[in-house]
Amino acid sequence: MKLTLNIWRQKDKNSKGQFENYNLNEVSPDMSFLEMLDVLNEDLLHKGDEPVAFDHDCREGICGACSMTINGRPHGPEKQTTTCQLHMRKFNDGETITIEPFRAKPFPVIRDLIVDRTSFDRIQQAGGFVSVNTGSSPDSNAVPIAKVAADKAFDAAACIGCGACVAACPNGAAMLFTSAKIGQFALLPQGQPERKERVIAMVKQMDSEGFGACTNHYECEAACPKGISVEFIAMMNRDFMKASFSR
Amino acid sequence: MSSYNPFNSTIFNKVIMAGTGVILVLFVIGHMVGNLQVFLGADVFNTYAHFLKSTGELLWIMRLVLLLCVVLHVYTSLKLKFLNMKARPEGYSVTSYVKSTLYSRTMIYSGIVIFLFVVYHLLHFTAFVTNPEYADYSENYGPVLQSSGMIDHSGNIIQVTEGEGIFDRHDAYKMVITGFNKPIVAIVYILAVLFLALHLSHAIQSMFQTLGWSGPKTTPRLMLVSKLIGWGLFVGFASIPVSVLIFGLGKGVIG
Ligand code: HEM
Ligand code: FES
Repeated sequence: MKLTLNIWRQKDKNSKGQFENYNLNEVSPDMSFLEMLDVLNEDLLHKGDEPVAFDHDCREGICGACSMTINGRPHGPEKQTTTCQLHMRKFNDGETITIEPFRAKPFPVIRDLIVDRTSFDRIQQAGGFVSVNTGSSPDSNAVPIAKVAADKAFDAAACIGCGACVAACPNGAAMLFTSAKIGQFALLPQGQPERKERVIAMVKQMDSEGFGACTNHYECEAACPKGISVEFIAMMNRDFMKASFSR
Repeated sequence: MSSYNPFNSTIFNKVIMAGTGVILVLFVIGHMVGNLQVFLGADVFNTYAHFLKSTGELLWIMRLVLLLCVVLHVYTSLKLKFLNMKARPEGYSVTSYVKSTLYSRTMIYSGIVIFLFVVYHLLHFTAFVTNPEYADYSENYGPVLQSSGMIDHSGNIIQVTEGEGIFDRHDAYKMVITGFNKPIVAIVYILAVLFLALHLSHAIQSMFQTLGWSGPKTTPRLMLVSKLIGWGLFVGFASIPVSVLIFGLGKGVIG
């Protein structure tokens, strides 16, 4: 395959970025999107140019590192697929592909396609955990949990914190991420003692990071590589209001 | 956590939008049903209009509640719009939407159009600022006089005519028919309710989601309900200016 890549280049947080065009002539349709970028970077290195910086780690769709917006879609056009799991056969020979970093004020660009997503870590640290005394692990099934609740909690827990929801949201809102991190505990007995403090603390952190407010476009759900439902946002809203009025 | 007031949060602001939205949507539906009585003729319509005006304090309570809702709804919508614009200072050069719609992305604009229209509408049919002559449209109703003459009505001598009702009320029917006989006025009203339909096609489902009613089965149904109510309101409201302008509804009263 022949491709033209239109890639955002930005030296560091404080520089102004711009798009650069690159041509690739021998892309295999079986390559992953990141392998295609590896090929581009080899080319650039051979020519003595700076390679394109992009984030990646597991390359198997579980770490959530490979953030980039491909032709206007976070993680590209394929449903429920991270960039590392996206294959070049999903593109056409001769196509021009535009690659931009995730865009949001709380996700500042560090270099080229890499953004700083520590705002997510801070939301998580504000309450996305269950406080327990350490000791030996409890017996399995000691706490009975309904199958539906367990399944739903697991759906929320599938969140890999990749930031695609924020990147896709026309408002730059982080409500899908935050609600998944709250919802995974709100549905389980282990999450109950800290339920109110958790939802308030995490929403507070989310707001103070400068994320936008949801207007229910549902672009987040469409972009989520784990298919997390906006139902969790509705649940978070309910929990948040209940907790606010009963403090 | 003490310095944090949850009532300043994005979520609380969203809930204010949705809560005021519920009241406004219910009002708009009631308003349309009321207006449709224009098809039942001048007598029914004027009786309804007169009833509304005669509710005294209740009318003012309703007006104050609606005003408060509009103020809160518009204020929070602008506040959140600015917040959202700040959350993405540098936009994408390529955008590709999957689930959002043109109307979900233009809520603030459809909202502003509705707001401007509401101001005009109140100046037009409620306060008669644009057409002061509407205030003088009156109609007799009630038991019919058997003879003409002069009567002393709390110190005022007034002329009464044989065959007319003994009471007097505002002729809202004539006002509506006269108003919509001007094509430009009718078109403004039709366009305004078109924007209302666009706003509500997204808003009603959005409001349920914000208030916590959502799910893989529920949400698609609420989306359908949202569109049905939005476009139902369009058909209902727009049918009045269309009937007057194109089908000559009420031609008799304006001679
Ligand atoms: C008859 C008048 C109106 C009705 C019945 C109405 C109804 C609604 C409802 C039910 C919502 C959804 C609330 C939510 O989910 O949070 C909404 C959202 C919204 N409205 Fe209105 N509205 C009206 C007028 C306005 C006006 C005058 C403006 C602005 C100047 C406006 C701007 C907005 C915006 C920006 C949203 C946010 C979009 C969203 O969150 O879904 N609306 N409206
Ligand atoms: S690199 Fe880990 S999810 Fe893509």
